[in-house]
Amino acid sequence: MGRTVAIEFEGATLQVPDTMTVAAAILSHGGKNHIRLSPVSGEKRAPYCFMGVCHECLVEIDGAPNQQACIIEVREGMKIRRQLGLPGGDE
Amino acid sequence: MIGGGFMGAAVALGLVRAGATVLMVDRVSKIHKASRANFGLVWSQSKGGGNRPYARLSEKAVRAFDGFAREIEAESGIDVELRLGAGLVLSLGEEELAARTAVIEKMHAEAAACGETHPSQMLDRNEVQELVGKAALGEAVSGGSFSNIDGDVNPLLLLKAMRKVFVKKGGTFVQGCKVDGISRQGDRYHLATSQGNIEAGKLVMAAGLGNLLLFSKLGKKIPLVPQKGQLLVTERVKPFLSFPFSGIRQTGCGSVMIGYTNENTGFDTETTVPAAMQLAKRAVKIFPALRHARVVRSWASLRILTGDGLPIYDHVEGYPGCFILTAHSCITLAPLHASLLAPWILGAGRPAEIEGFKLERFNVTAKTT
Amino acid sequence: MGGQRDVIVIGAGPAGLSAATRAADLGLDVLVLDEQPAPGGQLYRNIERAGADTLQILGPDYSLGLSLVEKFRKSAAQYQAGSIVWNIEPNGNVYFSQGGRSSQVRGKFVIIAIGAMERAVPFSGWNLPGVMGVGGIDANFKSSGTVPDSPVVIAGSGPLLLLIVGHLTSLGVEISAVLDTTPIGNMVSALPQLPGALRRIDYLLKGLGMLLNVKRTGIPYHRGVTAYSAHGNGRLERVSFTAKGNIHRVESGLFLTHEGIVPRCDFTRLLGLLHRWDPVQRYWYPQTNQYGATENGVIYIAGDGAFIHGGIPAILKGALAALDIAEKLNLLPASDKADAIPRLEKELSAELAPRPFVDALYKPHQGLYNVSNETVVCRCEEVTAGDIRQAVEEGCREPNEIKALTRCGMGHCQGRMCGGALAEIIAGEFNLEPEHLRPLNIRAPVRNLSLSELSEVVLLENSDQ
Repeated sequence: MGRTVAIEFEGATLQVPDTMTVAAAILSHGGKNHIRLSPVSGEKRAPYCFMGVCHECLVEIDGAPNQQACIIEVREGMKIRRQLGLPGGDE
Repeated sequence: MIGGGFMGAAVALGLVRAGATVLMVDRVSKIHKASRANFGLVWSQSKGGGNRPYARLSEKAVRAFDGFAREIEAESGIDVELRLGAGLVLSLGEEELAARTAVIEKMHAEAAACGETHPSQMLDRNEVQELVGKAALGEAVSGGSFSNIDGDVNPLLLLKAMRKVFVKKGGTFVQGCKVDGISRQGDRYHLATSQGNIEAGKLVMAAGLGNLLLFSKLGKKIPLVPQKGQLLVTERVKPFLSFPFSGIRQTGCGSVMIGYTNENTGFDTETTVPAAMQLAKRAVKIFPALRHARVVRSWASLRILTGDGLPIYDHVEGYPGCFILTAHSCITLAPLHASLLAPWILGAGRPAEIEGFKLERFNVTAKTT
Repeated sequence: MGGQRDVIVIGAGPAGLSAATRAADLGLDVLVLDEQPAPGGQLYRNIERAGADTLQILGPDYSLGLSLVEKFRKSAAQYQAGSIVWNIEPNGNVYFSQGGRSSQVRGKFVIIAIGAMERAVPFSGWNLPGVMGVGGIDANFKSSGTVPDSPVVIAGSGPLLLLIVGHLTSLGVEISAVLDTTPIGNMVSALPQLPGALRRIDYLLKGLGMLLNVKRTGIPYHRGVTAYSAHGNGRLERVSFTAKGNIHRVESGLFLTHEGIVPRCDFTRLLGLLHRWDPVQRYWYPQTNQYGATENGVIYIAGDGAFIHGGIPAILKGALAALDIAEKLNLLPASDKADAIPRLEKELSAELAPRPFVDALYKPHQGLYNVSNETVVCRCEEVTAGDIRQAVEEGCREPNEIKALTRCGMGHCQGRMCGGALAEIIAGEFNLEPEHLRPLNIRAPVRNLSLSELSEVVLLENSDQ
């Protein structure tokens, strides 16, 4: 189905179709179980609506937090990290 | 008691504790919700410049807050998340710091002139950073004024707890009740409301800006003006600020409240982009680490200001047994509203602490036809 | 880009694309803002890069989007992808975020075409990884050909449900069970609407065809399902459901649910526009005239965001909005007014003929929101139905108060997922219909902006903002 790109997810390199959303990429390849931990309880969460409404798919992309993975397409060299619990602290 | 916000609920609580039979009514309103939309500060350091009695009142209230809150927590079973012992008004840049220093010095001078002290001190930038701890302050932070008695509380929980204790002590609380008409028949007050008719021997007006309408029903005027304040609230973030600044505080659940503007735009409660930008800019200047924090909510509400910003605690002229109570800082003053005002309303002499806060100081014409 | 545009279109789905193309072709200055990386919205998601296989499997309903997008690309409409709108003001100001930077634009008119969302109905375990909306499967397939590699259980009601079952079977995905929550009595109660629907036999046959397809696959198909739950430890492991009084359990790693679709009122609530409540499908929708104009003459709504009518009506409504706006700007030739508008209206009427029947047939069942106290309603803040009911018991009378006290609606999604359930649960406690409740107060930014981005919005130079 066309070209693939290499992205980095939690340190691992994934080869994914270039039209894939970040959310689908994570679930298909390495994030089967979850995409983030709830900031309230720490429980595991995965994307629910896949269309930008539910805000479950929040990930850190290239250092920028709170990106809605389901409406963002993968890009060559993209670095993705899960958000675990509360953001912030002393950066 | 017309009004079940912080003013009404505190005084009503005092009244039932004194053995009175009290009916407190409160209406649902989009603009009259100062008690539900505020910053939750328990604050004395900025109060009463140029008015010693008000400065004294505020300090006394803050010092009484812990006991007041503990009693309410014990009786309601609700933890109101009270934090006392640190409150800061931050300055950015040298000009702000100089202005703030002047304000605090004046308060100290006025206190000293009465043989008293004012519980505040100026801190430089390093001292503020030391108090804050790890969270790095922005470059522009120059210092601020600090109080070791001020603090904050969860206003929704405190109001809920106060109302709960009021009812527990025998008070009746009716919500969704709007007062449409007031008349005096004999020595009783008759109120027509959206939930039926009420009769009472005494009437207390504690409806915030709603007092304007209530006063007009009596053919009177009261110099109250709304002032808009806009606020931003962020997503929950890791705890980094353990005490309140006057414009930034981190709540119990981790969200950061960022406020606030002071806008004279009448009864408008719209939030605006320029105000949001201004608030966001300042917050990031204070704590650069907040720059990535997401704003998830914003709101605006109306402060209740009198002509001089000071409270009004008075009888309503021509209406025996009718009282008007209004203040801007009803959270801070709640302990004293509960303890001082109830006996006075029930017939005791006017407390010395509230001597100067009469309606007549505004020279408002008593009656319109 | 600066100054004022003739029209700003928000959303590049069928309605938005149609409106933008029509307006641009009439000479209007059009700006389209869409949050996705490519045009198509949900219905025609990723259509420009869809492979032949995808087009074949999804059929003409999907491939119709190709010519729509082609015409859009050829038009003079300016298109900004990856643009997340976070504020609209009644005077036509629009604020959006693109690439981490926010800007203000202004339209003489704004067409909101953000469409619909799946009705968010809480159930026990719905926040477990492995549970998702049915639409998500379609979205992933359209975007990247991604297909579940393990058996799925599907539950819910509505035409989209059957459609997705068809897609999945064509793709060779194993479906363990279909749990149909359409109330058994609906067929009978919908009968009065059937005559109107008979104008469009083709539509009805298509629906029947989808149903027969499912039956033919031999997939276990349960009707009259009244409840379902998801179970597992940190991840979905099995689904339980109640059908005709019996409780069943199915092992599952992927559970797809769908209880109809509802208009997205994100912006219309922000703008404080008037809304109506549809008692059949149980949703609010903004009040518009036949061209999609709201009581605020600047703001138009086109597509499923105005009322759930589907893809082709969205295309037609988008065109009607564009024509009406063109007329207001004195850019509509008289011939178009006399000819194009009536033609579109006639086409629309034919398209809408079966809708009352479909809406009645798939009317949600009464107990849809009678969720247990332990069920999480607000996913973001983990507020349960019990928390909400307790707030009501303690004297709270309206949704905003309950939101303030319980934190329901205060998370990242800003009440999008829980707002409907919050209203239904409160209404249930007061024995009212949700239409009698105040809506939640919605304020900008209606998407999550960072403080730094909010502090650096590029505003228009005009003094009257």
